[in-house]
Amino acid sequence: MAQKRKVSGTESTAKSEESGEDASDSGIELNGPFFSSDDGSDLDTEDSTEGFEMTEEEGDEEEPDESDDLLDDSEDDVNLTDEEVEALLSRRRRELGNTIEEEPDTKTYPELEEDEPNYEITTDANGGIRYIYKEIDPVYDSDDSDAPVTKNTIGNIPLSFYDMYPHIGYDISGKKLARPAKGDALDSMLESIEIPKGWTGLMDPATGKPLELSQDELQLLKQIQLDEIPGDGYNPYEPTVEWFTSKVEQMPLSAAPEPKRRFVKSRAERKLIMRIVKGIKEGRIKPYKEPSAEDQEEEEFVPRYDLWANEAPRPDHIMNIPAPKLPPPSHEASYHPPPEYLPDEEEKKEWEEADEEDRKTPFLPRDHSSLRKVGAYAHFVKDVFERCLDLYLAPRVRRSKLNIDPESLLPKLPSVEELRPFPSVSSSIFRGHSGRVRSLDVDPSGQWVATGGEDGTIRVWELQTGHQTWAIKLGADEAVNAVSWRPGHDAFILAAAHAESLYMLIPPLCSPELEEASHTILDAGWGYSSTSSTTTTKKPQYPWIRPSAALSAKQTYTKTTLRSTIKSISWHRRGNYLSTVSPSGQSSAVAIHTLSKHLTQFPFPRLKGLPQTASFHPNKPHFFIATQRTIKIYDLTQQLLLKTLQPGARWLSSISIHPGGDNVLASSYDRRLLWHDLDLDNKPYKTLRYHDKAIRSVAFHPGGFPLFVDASDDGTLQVFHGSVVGDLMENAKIVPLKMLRGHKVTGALGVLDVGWDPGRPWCVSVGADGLGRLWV
Amino acid sequence: MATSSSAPTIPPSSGKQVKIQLTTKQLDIALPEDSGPILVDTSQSLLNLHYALFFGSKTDLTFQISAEKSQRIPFDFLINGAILRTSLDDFLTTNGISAETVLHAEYVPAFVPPKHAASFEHDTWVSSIDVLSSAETKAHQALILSGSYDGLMRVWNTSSQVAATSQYLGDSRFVAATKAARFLSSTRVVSAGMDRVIRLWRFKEGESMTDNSKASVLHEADLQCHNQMVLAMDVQSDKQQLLSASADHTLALWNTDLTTAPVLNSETTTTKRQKRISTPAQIAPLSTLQGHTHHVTGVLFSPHVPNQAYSISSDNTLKTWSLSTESVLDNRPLQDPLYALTALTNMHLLALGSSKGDITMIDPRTSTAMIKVSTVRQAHSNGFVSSLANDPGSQYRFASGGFDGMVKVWDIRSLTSSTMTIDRKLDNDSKGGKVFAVKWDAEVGILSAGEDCKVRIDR
Repeated sequence: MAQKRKVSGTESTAKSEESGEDASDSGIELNGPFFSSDDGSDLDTEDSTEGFEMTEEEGDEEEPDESDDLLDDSEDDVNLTDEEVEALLSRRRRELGNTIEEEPDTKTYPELEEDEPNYEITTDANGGIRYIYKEIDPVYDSDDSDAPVTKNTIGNIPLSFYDMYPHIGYDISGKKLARPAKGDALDSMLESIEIPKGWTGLMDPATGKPLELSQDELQLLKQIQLDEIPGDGYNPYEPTVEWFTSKVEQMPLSAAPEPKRRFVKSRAERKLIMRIVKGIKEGRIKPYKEPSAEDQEEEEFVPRYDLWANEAPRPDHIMNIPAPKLPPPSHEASYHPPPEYLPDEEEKKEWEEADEEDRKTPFLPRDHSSLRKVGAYAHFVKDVFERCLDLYLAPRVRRSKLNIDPESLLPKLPSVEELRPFPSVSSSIFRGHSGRVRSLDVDPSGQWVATGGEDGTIRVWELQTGHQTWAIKLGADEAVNAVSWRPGHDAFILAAAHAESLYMLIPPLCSPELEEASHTILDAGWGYSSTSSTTTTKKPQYPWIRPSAALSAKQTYTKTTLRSTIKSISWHRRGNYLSTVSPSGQSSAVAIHTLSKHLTQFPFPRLKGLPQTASFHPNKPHFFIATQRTIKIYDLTQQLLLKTLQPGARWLSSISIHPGGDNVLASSYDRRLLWHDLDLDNKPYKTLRYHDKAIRSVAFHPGGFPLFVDASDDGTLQVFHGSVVGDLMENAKIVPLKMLRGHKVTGALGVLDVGWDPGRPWCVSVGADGLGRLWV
Repeated sequence: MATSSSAPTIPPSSGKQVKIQLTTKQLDIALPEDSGPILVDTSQSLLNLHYALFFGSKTDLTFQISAEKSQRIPFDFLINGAILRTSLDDFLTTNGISAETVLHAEYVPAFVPPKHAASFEHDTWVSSIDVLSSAETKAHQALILSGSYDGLMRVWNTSSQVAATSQYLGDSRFVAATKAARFLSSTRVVSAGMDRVIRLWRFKEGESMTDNSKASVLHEADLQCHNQMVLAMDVQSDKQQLLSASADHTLALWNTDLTTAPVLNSETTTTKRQKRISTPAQIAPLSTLQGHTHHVTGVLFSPHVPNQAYSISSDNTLKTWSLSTESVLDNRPLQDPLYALTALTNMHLLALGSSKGDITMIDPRTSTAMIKVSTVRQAHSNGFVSSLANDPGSQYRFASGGFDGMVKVWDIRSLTSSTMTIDRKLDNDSKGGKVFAVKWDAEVGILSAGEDCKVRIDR
């Protein structure tokens, strides 16, 4: 079959070159490797043709069967095998050639010749329209001038259907083919006549006439039967013409690749393709041969080595500079941009008229309904070229990053060891108070520490050993909220705040001389107050009185009672003045008492905010008042507000002024410790936030050690190194040193007050657990 | 001395062996003849050396010490001046000594840890103790003097009986605790405390050991010059001199011989209070030594140089004073406030205890440039070495008492760890039980006094 097609194809190509598109009508050239294994391929053998549209094609296929039927009838007469008949028929076909092949074409494409109707319209007997078709004149391209052979066109139906008709089918024009004469008349005539030469007794189904074989044909059959060469002129060893070979020819038949238009599926090819596609879909046809069990076994035994198993990614070459990245495309580059990105007519025009270099974008945004419809980008090559040019021509310089070790940016803190001494261990414990201990103060000589507790007692302890040496009970109900020793070594006076009252005490722990001096200091005011009262005849609002006899016997000397509870006491450095703060006292919150005159004054009647604590400047006539949120600094001589510090805390608890006088530490209940440098802003120079809970108290070391400590409700004290340099160019250095743990948190309160030994790096703390601790 | 004919056989052992030459300086336990170097297994610790010594003595027939005695005495072994505390192997590695050299090990009787002998119960904290040796007493029994925080002194005999109690002469308005108490002689006692006055007492013993009815401590004289409490005293009995250290930053030198002592000019004492208590003799100091800038916390007559004394202070310094010229000879700044002082006489060393719990060994003779200090860090964990006492029986040992409630015995040949520890902590609270005073007497043993209101004797 392949051969046959090829022949017809070559002929048709010649024609198609003339008639252009008509090439599809006729020739099918199937020379490709795909079709070379035509019938013999397993595709055909495997499958039935179910599911395919088998229309006219079947006729072609059944052709041999039909002839089989015919041959079967006459099997007795001529002993022909199937093969022989097939060979015979194929030869006949070869002779008949194109007629058979051309036939369907005219049928399938009648519309191509529509311009000229091939029928005439007449009226039939009933007066209706009758189409009379012209005789079909098959076109013959070949030189074959043989007379046309009428052919039965009934197709693949048994001839027995026509047994009751006088005809046996129809020719190409629809004319009936008459049944050949048969029967008695003919028989008799035949019997009278000699049997014609080549008579086979078979009928050619195509014509309905007896099949006659010529002498040559008979000879051929005979030779085939004898396995001989079919004929004299037949050369079985003709030289093969290799049209397409593996060799590279000097002058190839055609160097051009097969044009696509040549590939037009014939029905057979479509069928074939469909079959393949179906096979692929169903999984019968696989792209590769499935490995057999043996192969798999073999594969398992083949040793394999992964050469790149240990390949580590290598860094780029040292001179490699990665190309700078282009910005990613925006919406206007989209195939279907939002309408606002689409240019209107003016913009389009403007873009088109602009010089190529002046255009903002190298393209105009265009809308496509689907990605499929996007055409090729015309400037692709140009753009890529320009990008390459940019990368190549633009000098790229490796910019060295600043290699800064983040550690080096941190301030150089001296090691904790260098900053010794500082308190680090809890040594003595002051046991005795029942209930919380509110306040403490270490006396100027460093031997004694006084504590005031909620049990209304003041206790004086030997600092080093923690031995309670002296105690006094000021009252049962109210707490002793503040105790403070008078500064200086010339007297031994303890000021204590119990409820609304301020007491002056002289504990009997000092030498008699010192005690005498203390008495003198305290007694000086009696005279003054009496004289002043006589001269002005006005009774002071808050008189200083002698306390009750029971307390007087216990070394309590003066008492003055204010309006509300005193929370803190602060002495002036000379020891003649002391200030008290009673936060709820409103206009009389901050009081300044003069010891030598037994005078109580309220110089700050209109203070904004709740005052918390107050303090004298260590060497200037300045006075610090810490209200809830600010620290106000007043000049006492000029009676001026000098400065208002804004620590930024919500509620200050205590302040401490550096002995140098230029730095203030403030602690707040919102867990912050704020260092103010008075030479700088009114904002804190440093905020230390290391505690988990409120900070109750803070204290600078008063005696020359660069230390400060704070006490918090989380039960810890934190010791810091805080050295102030005289040089204005240098800021204070703050180093956290040690966290002192020991106090137990009772009732959400931890350490309530903290103080320093004035001469040694020791601090004392008192807590809500009723204990005092010495830290050395 | 004949060498033994055969090398002593050593029990079968595995591992390295090292040759050790054993010697001693004490004649009573010396081997009668030199056994030569013996082989000792290095992997084991002291057991083997004990064994070697014992074994060596047994094999030698001429050995004179009784086997039982040598069995009972545990030995310490000194190699290159340090006491062997680890296994020999570790010792060799840490000191970089080759195992092939012959080690010269000196064996000395080991320190036998004393056992708790007695406790003298007081009403309050006990701040100081002193011992009068039995040779000086009539009853030939050692007497113990204790000063306590109730301002009293008590004299005890060794059977825990109070022989005599002093009268309270301090301030009536508070209890002036006794901070220091010493025997001046067998008949005189000195005490000082928070009431700033040093008091001399005449002590009269009871007739016998059991009868203390006639024992008494009677007030004799007041030594007045200090403005603050007296923290420490030292006594030089033969010269009848007394040094006191006070919180008023001064030291005072006193003559305790009342016949020659300068009497305080009564005009200077004008206050009523002083007059009231000044019926006995008022003694003025021979001199006051000013130079410290904080509390003087300890004082000691130099055991070698006459008219020289050492003092320590909270201002972190150790000062050497010339008592004749009343001047500072040497000033040694140290790191922390100092609170305890004792002298290791034969070693020419001073042991200093600081507020950080460190014990510093310092040689006061060397110039400041050539200072050689060895320090035990954190000898007492809770701060404050409150007291130090040297062992009268050994030139190397001393005891220390700290606020952590421990009494520790140290040997200067191995200061890395204490030789033994007496735990005086109060049971109810680990923070309590501070030890205020430690005294080591040859006869009585180690005495310690503290917050637990007891004087404890370990012997």
